[in-house]
Amino acid sequence: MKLLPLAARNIRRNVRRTILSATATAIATMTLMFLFAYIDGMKMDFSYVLSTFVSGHGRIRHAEYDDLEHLNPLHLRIVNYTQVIDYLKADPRVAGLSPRINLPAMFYQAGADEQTGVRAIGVDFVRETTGMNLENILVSGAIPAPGDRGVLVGTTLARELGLEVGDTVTLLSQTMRRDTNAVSFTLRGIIEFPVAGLNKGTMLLPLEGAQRLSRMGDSVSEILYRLQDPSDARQVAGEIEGLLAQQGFSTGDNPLSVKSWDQVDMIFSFMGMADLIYGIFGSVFFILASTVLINTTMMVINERTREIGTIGALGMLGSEIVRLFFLEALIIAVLGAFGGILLGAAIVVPLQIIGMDLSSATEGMEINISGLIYPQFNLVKTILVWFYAVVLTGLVALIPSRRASKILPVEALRYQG
Amino acid sequence: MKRFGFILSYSWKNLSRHRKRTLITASAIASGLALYLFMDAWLLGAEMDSQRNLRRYETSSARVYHQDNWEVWERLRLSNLIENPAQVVDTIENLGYTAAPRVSFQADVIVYENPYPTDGSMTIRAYGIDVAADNRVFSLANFVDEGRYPEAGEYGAVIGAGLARTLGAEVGFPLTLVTRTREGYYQTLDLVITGIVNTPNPIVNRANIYIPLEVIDQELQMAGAVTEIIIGISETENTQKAAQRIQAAISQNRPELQTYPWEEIAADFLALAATKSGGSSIMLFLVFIIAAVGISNTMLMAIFERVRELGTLRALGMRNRDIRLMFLLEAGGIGFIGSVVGLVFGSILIAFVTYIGVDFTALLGDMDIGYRINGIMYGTWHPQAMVTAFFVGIFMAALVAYLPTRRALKMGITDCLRDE
Amino acid sequence: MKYSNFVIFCLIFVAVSFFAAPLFCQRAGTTGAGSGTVPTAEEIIRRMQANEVHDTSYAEGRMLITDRFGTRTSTYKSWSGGTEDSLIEFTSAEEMGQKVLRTADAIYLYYPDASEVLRIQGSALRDSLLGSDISYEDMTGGRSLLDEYSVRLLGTEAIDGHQTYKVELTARNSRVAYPKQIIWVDTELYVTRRAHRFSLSDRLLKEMDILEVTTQNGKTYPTRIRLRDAMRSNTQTVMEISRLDIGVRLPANIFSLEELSW
Repeated sequence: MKLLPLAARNIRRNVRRTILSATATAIATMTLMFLFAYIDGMKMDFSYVLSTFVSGHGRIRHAEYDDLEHLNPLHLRIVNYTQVIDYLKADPRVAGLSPRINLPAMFYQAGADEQTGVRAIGVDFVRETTGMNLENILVSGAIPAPGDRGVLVGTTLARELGLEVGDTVTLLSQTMRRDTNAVSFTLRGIIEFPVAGLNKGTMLLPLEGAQRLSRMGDSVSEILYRLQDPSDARQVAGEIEGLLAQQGFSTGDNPLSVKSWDQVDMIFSFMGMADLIYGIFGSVFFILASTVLINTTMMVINERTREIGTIGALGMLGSEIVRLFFLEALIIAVLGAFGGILLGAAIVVPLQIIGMDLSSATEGMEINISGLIYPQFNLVKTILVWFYAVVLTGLVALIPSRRASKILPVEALRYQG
Repeated sequence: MKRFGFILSYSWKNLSRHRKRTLITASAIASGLALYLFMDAWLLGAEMDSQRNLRRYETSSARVYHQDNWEVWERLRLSNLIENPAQVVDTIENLGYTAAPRVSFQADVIVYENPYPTDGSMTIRAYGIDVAADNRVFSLANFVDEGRYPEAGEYGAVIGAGLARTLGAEVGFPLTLVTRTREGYYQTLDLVITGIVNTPNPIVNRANIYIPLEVIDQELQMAGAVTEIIIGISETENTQKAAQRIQAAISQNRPELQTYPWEEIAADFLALAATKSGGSSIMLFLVFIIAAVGISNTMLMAIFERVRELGTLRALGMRNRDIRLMFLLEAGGIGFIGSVVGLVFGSILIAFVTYIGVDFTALLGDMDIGYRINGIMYGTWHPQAMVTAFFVGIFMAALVAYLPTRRALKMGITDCLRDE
Repeated sequence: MKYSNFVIFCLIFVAVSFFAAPLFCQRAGTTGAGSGTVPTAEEIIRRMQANEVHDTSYAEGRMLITDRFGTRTSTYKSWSGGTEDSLIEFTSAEEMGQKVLRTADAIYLYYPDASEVLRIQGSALRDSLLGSDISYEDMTGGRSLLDEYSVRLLGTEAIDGHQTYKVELTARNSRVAYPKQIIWVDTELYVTRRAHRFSLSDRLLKEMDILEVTTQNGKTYPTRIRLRDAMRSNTQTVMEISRLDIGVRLPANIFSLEELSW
């Protein structure tokens, strides 16, 4: 007996039921797809923030700096940073480089009993215009020109200190020799970091300005780099460290160490935790979506028990009945899931371009999560979701139909449903 | 009334007659409900966790400060103090809350090689606490991992686990603090570590030291004054209102003092919440959609399969009104069963995540980023959500049953009978 | 006690007092050789300050600051006048142009790259000068020791072969940071040999040892001083004065803010 056309006819015959099953499948599939896209979007944002503002995909520092980091050991610096940068620029794996100086400093306020501590970061504004996308996050003012002793301040900090563009910013800091120095800068621009925590206490200084303040000459504390492909960051970090030694940039007197981002920032381990949480949530969805599929299929089978009895009485073999129902369920699942992923794509793809604005929810958070999430469309994951829906539905269809097929026709016919 | 009784019993019988359908539909509702409640409990727990951490170990439910100290309290200076704190504490406790005085100040802790691994010094926050009363507000004593809480007047200290780890300290080690007295003199305190405290709040663990108030009062020349009074308010009570009550009572005798609920104190802190509503609302919304789809789907299917039955009833002369009522009652019944089962399973899941939690400590390792989160994530009971979900389950089942029923009632009877 | 024993006791007491009296008698001592009479604690301090505290002076010297990362040197010039004012200007390459002005009630810092003069007050006074073991607060006061502290002579003690009077200073009020100090003053030269500063619970906080003294124009003053934070093990600051002109005429307004930013 040709089951496929029979299955197809059955499907067409009871439109309502078909539509219901298909819709359920479609929606379940769609939400699953959206969930993954959303989670991927959050992870991507997290990694963007981390790699741009905190640790890059990897970080080059004097080998002894990390152990003494809490003492701010400016003397453990990279003196040949320009050469290192020139060398790494040519490496095809490297997408961007950021020389930096980290300076805990005090903002001098005349008449105040206490000075306000700020996190001053010396950066190369030309590089960071692209690296940090400075122009996009500039709220007022402008990026300091090369040679200008100008700074950029986060919005929250500017507000707290009552600063406006053009104001004088005098910073007191410890120098490399551990005495003190003060330098006056001019506030050139106010930026809205995508991370609330950075807005609260960060000032961006020009590299020369930070060097002048800390009297560390033409050197930097660290070089961050971003990779085209961050997936094997750790291995690349090891390779770069080797290359630096090979090329003579890292010597016995001036050893440099390279750490990938997962070795650097504690927040990265938080990402691992977030991953797990998302995994659990995803599983919850899976379970729920699966129950929907299961329920639908079981209902269908249940309602058609009499029909099963009828065709059984008409001579159809138990195994054929099973196959028939299985086919029906499969076809509906295939079509329904397909509709689902189309719907899902229709939602995810535009959002990937526009982004979802959650900024009001993340205000006041110290942690590095920005307010704008771009759900990520992933073809492989989409196909997997589709596959899963189909397979699950098929499997579930097997169970009751097997059971139903074993009932004697006369019992089935008597079944009231 | 008799008719209603008949319809009710008929509906009920139908439910048990079509057990499979009932069960399948009810399970759709149950699973949707249970998982929604689970997610909600967990997300809420995460959001509450950081806040709870803040409130339970750092800010307390409310505080009393001298009003001039408000802007600068976190600078830990011994100025703008509260004199005669006992009077204030009494006033607050008479209102039914718990209160305790505290002296918070900044100090350098200095340790020496032998018995410590190396010489070292650190700037920390120190608190002179009333050993008995403090535990009524905070519950530090419950988290003393090693050793013990100091006794009143003892020259001992309890330090945070993170601090202990940084210094390499153990119970019984000596601890020297260098600080200034209220008068402005340099002062040193030689103490012994009596215990190490490990709270779920990493900030507390990282840089705090707790010393009996009598010792601080003496050595820092406090003359009985304190920097703040911490207050405990039960978590079910509205802290803003409670703070107002307290303020009203205090300001009669002590107009220079001001009561602040924890929300205002916490506003000054950096991190406030875990994943806030933005991200979690979306998750919950998605769960709701799937659940709703699942419920609607099965309900609709159930009703559609019974159009013929409905037609038979109409043919037998049952009134439309009664039929509708019957179907709605059945749907409501399924909803009820589903909601109950969903609540039960949901409660089991919520209980699991609330009391046992999910342990991330292996992943986090030595995380220390100022973000107030624990290695173990807990959920929290959300009775409001449970009640709402319960009724939504019933209501949605009934609602979803209503429309096709109405449609079927509008059809011709013979069409009903002919329906498949 | 029997009557006779009592009488003998009284006699002995009188005899001892008679001989001991000169030891505790107030007598204005002169500079130079010990005259066999012991001055009061106040006397000792006054004479020490007569040596070390000058109406006006100009000095040049250097500071060697040692911490866990090594030792560094800074050179300076300083002017001081009156009881409260002093101006330090750093001349070493690293700190070139930096100045510290101290007046009666405040400390001001001038940095060449800062567009404003920084006033240090409040808790910032506890910060250290140049990262050394000297805090700005340590630089305040000190001229009017007898106003701020009540003094007591504890006895004599030998330090590096020099006999010294050991004087204990107890704070009268809390305008000073150290509630107790002990100063060892050379019995012959009336120059400080050592100073210890204590916390309220009598723990040693700061040690100052005078390694070298110089006599010029009848005045003896320390020219090499070592300061240590007694609580920490691996830091110290050594101040060396290479030149000291006492009683110089200082330019007018030298202790003003305008001069500071010049």
